[in-house]
Amino acid sequence: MDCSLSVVYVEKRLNIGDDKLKMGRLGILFFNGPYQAQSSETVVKLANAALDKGHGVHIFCYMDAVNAALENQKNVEGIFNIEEGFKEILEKGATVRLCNLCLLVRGTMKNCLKRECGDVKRAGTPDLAKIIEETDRLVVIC
Amino acid sequence: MSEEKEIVILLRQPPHGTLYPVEGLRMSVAVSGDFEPITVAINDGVYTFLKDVDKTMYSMHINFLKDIDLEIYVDKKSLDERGLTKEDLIDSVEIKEHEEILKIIENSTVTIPF
Repeated sequence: MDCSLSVVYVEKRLNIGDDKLKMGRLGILFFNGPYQAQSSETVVKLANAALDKGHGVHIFCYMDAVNAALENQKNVEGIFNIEEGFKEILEKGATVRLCNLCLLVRGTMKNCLKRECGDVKRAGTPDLAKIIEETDRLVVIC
Repeated sequence: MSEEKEIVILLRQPPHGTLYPVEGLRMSVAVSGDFEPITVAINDGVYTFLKDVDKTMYSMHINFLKDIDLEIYVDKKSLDERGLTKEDLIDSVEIKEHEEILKIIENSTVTIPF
């Protein structure tokens, strides 16, 4: 893996009941743009794995990471299509928040994934505070 | 307020050539509505708080954090390695020994590196 992965533990662990595992809520704060490092693919695969196990996944795309959630990404053989990856995890129930200001300064405000794809929308940094508050663990991928 | 979670915003990159400290300080301001984040500068991040560095893009963030009594710590080891002293820094930051910085990070529940 060619991205540095900072795993940040939140004290509040997954709640394990006497006889069943209550599903956790995973937050992912994502910094990197697509198609330069493996980190976008890592985010998608990590989210997919968590969703497949029934956990909630909440992703905040910050700085260049907002470019990972753009429409009309070209399919190139042998290269993981990040748009399709994001659409897949959205379809499975992930929430994706895109930093509004980051989109604005990159001129990509109107090209990001639309709400028809799932729970994806533009957001502000206070929304990250909400994700931190409401998730059991936050993973920072930068 | 969610005071049970300790948030550390870790500034590691320099303020020249990158926007990371600007974004990190913006993040500190943003999460201060729900938490009491501690901003920590290490490595080249310490240049962020030099008296003479151009702070046009983030001086308002520093002022806001100080106005609401949130701490900004600078790693002494990083300063020493760069030949910098307390006199080189603005007044609104506090220098901490490296071991204290490590302890702050260790005790945090969420650390966001910039």
